[in-house]
Amino acid sequence: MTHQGLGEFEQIVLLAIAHVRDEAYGIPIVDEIEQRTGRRVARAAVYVTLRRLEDKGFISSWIGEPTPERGGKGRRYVKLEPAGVKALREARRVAERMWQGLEPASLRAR
Amino acid sequence: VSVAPTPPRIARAILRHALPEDACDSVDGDLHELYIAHRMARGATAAAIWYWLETLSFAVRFTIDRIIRLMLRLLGRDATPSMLDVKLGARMLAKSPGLALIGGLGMAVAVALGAGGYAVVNSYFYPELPLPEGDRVVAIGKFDTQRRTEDDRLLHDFLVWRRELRSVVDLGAFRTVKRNLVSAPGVAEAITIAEMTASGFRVARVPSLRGRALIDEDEAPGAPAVVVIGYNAWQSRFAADAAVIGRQIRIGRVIHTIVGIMPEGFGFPVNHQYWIPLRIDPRAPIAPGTGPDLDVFGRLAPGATKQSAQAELTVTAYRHAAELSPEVARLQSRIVPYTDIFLHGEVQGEAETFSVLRFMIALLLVIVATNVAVLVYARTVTRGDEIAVRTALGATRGRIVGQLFAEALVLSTLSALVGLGIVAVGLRMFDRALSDYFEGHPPFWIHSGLSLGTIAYALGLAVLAAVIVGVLPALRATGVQLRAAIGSLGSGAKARLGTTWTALIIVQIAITVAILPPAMIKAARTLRTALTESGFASGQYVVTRFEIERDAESTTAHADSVGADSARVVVNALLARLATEPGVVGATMTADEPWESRRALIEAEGAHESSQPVRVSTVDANYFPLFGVRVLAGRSFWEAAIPLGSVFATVPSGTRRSHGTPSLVWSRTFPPAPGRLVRRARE
Repeated sequence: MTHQGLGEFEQIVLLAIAHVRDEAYGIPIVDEIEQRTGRRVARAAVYVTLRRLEDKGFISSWIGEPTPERGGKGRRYVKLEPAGVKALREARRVAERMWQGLEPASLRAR
Repeated sequence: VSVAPTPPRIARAILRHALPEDACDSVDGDLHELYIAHRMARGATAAAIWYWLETLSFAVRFTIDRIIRLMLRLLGRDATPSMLDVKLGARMLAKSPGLALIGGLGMAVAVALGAGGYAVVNSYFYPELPLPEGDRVVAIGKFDTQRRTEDDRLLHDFLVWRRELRSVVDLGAFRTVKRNLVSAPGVAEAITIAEMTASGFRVARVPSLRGRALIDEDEAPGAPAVVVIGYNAWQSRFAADAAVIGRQIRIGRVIHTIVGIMPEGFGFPVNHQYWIPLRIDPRAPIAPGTGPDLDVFGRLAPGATKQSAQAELTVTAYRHAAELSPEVARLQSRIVPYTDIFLHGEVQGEAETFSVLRFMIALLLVIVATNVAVLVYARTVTRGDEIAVRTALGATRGRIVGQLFAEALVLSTLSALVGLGIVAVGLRMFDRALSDYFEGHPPFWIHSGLSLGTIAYALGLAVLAAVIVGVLPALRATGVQLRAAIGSLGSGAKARLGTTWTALIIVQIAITVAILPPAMIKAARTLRTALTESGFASGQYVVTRFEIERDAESTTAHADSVGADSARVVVNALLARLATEPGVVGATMTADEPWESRRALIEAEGAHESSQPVRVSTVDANYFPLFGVRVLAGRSFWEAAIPLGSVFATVPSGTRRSHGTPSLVWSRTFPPAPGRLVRRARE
C-alpha cells in the first residue's frame, strides 16, 4: 500500500469515531467533534471525509435498519479498522516526538 | 390525522441528485432526522432554511469531491505530462512532418475561426459597457413583436417613464444630429452631436476633464446654448487649447459656449465628441407615437433588478394603455441591456443567431480535431508495439496517455499560436471595416482587439483539441487492444483501425459532404453579388448627404413640420445651384439611399391580395430621368405634384422586368393623398 498520511481533519474525524464507539454514524460524529473542539464544522465536510477514510481502508461501514423518522432510510454506521487505529497511533507518535523536548521559551513568537 | 413532516421536496431532490449513490440514502436519512429535530425546536421556516443551506453545502462539497476523484481516476498520479513528454512530442512531430503540417494547419484555421468568432461576438454582441457599474445601465424601447420592428418615437413615453418609473433612475434620452461646426466665415465642417439630457452624464458617472458636463438647467427653453466637447475633438479641432472653456463656437446657426471637456475614451451615449442639451418644450402637448426618434436610457436604481424594473415598466404601460391608439398600445415596452438597443438584437433575433453561430464555430473545431484525431490514431496504431513494450516494462496507462496527450498538446498549441496570428490580422481588418461602418467612430464599448480572454479561449480550444487528438486515440490504443498487442509482439501482425474509427471517418466525410454544397452555393452567390454590376454607369455619379437644421429648438412635431418646410426651400435652392455647376448633367434628391431604403408592407385599395413587403424610397421628379430609367406603364412623377414626404413603392425586383433596361422596376405612382399613403405604408 502506498503511504497515505492523515490530515488534521481526518485525525479529528477518526478520533471522534473512537469516542462515539458503537453508535458512530454521521450525526453523533459531528456532535462529538463540535463538542470537543468547541467550534462548528461543516457537516458535509465530515461526510466527505468519512467517505475518503473508508476508501483508504481506515474505517468500514454498514447500513442499519430503516426507521420512519429518517424517511425510511437506515443509518450508515462506521467503525475503526486496524489500519485506521495504526494511522492514528502513528500520527500521535510523530506529534509527540515533535513536541518532545520543547520548552515553553521555544514557542515564544519572535 | 397528522402527516409526518418532510424536508422541502426540491431541496431534497437536489441533495439526492448531488450525492454519490453509496452516500445518498445515509446522508438523506441523517438530514431528514435532523430536519425533524430542527422543525420541532425552531419551527418549519427555520428548519426549511437550515435544510436548504445544508443541501447546498453537501451539493458543493460532494461535487468537488466527485471532480477530484474523476480526475485522479482518469489521469492517475503519473499522467501529468512532463517537459520530457513535450520534447518527445516535438520530436514525434518532426518525424511526421506531413501529419504535423496538415493537422496543424487544419487546427490553426479552426482555432482562428473559433477564437476570431469569440472575439467578434463578445466585443460586438455581448460587450461590457466600460462605465462604472456598466451592467446596470439599461435602455428602454418599444418593440413591435409581430413585425419585429422597433419604434423610436418615444418622446411621450420618455416623459411618462421619467415621471413614474422608480426602478430606473436618471432616466435620459438622446438623439444624434449632424451640424456644421463653423470655425470661420465660409469654413464649415460637418460634426456629429449627441443632443442629450444632462442625466446622461450622471448615468455614465464619468466626471469632466475640464469645466463641467451638461446640467439640468441647460435643458430649460431659453437657457444659454452650451456645448461639451470630447477629448479627441479638443485635441484635433481646438489644438488642446487649455483656454477653450468659455470660448464661443458656431454650431449650425447657433452660437454655443464650450462649458466642458470630457476625458479621453469617453463617447457616451455611442461615439460622440460633442454634446448639447436635449430641450423638450414642456408646454407643447406630445401625442404618443409622435415626435422625433429618441433613444431612452437610465440606470437601475439601487436594489432594483432588470426583472423588477421590467415589471414596473409593464404595469406603467398597462396603466396608460387606455390613452393610446390601438396601433401604439400594441407595442411592448422593454428594458434591455444598454448596448442591445443599438444592435436591435431584441427584435431581429441577432443575438440568438450569433449564439448558434458561436456553437457552430466550436463544432467546426470538433470536426477538424476529430479529423486530425483519426490521422493521429492511424499513427498511434502503428506505434502499438512501442506502447505494448512500454506497458510490459511497467508504464501505467496514465503515463502513456499523458505522453500522447503531451504530443498532441505540442501540435495544438503551435496551431493555436498560428491561429491567434490569423485572428490578430483578421481583427485588424474587422476593426477597419467597423470603423468605416461607423464613419471612423465605432461605439465606445467595442474593443475587438486580441484580448486576454480571446487568448485564453484559443488556448482552451488548443487543450480541447489536444484531448480529442491525443487522449481519445491514446485511451483507445491502451485499452482492450493493448492486451492483444502485447500478445502479438514480434508476430508482425498488422494493425487495424477498428470499427469505431472507421465509423468516425465515415461520419466526418458525411458531415463534410453535407456542409460543402451549401457552403459552395453560398460562396457562389456572394461572389456573384460582389461581381454584379450596378446596372447603371455608377462611375458617373457622385452622392452626398445633407441635413436641414430645424429652426425651433423644441422637439415637437410642429418643429419637424417647420423643418420640413424650410427643407423644401433649401433643397430647391440647392438643386437649382447644382444644375448650374459646370460638369453636372443633372441632380436629384432622395430622402434616403435607395439601396438602404425602408422596408414596409403595402396593399392596394380594394385589392383582395394580402399585404406585400416592399422597399420604399422618397425621391423627386428628377430621379428616374437622371438614371435613364424608362417607366414601363403610366407616367413618371410631375415635379409640381411631389410634396416632400410622398411615398412611392418598388415591386419586388424580378416581378416585371423589361429587357435592355436597368433592373430597377417601378410600380405605378399613387394618387395624390400622401399623408394617407404614408400611414398605410407604415401599417
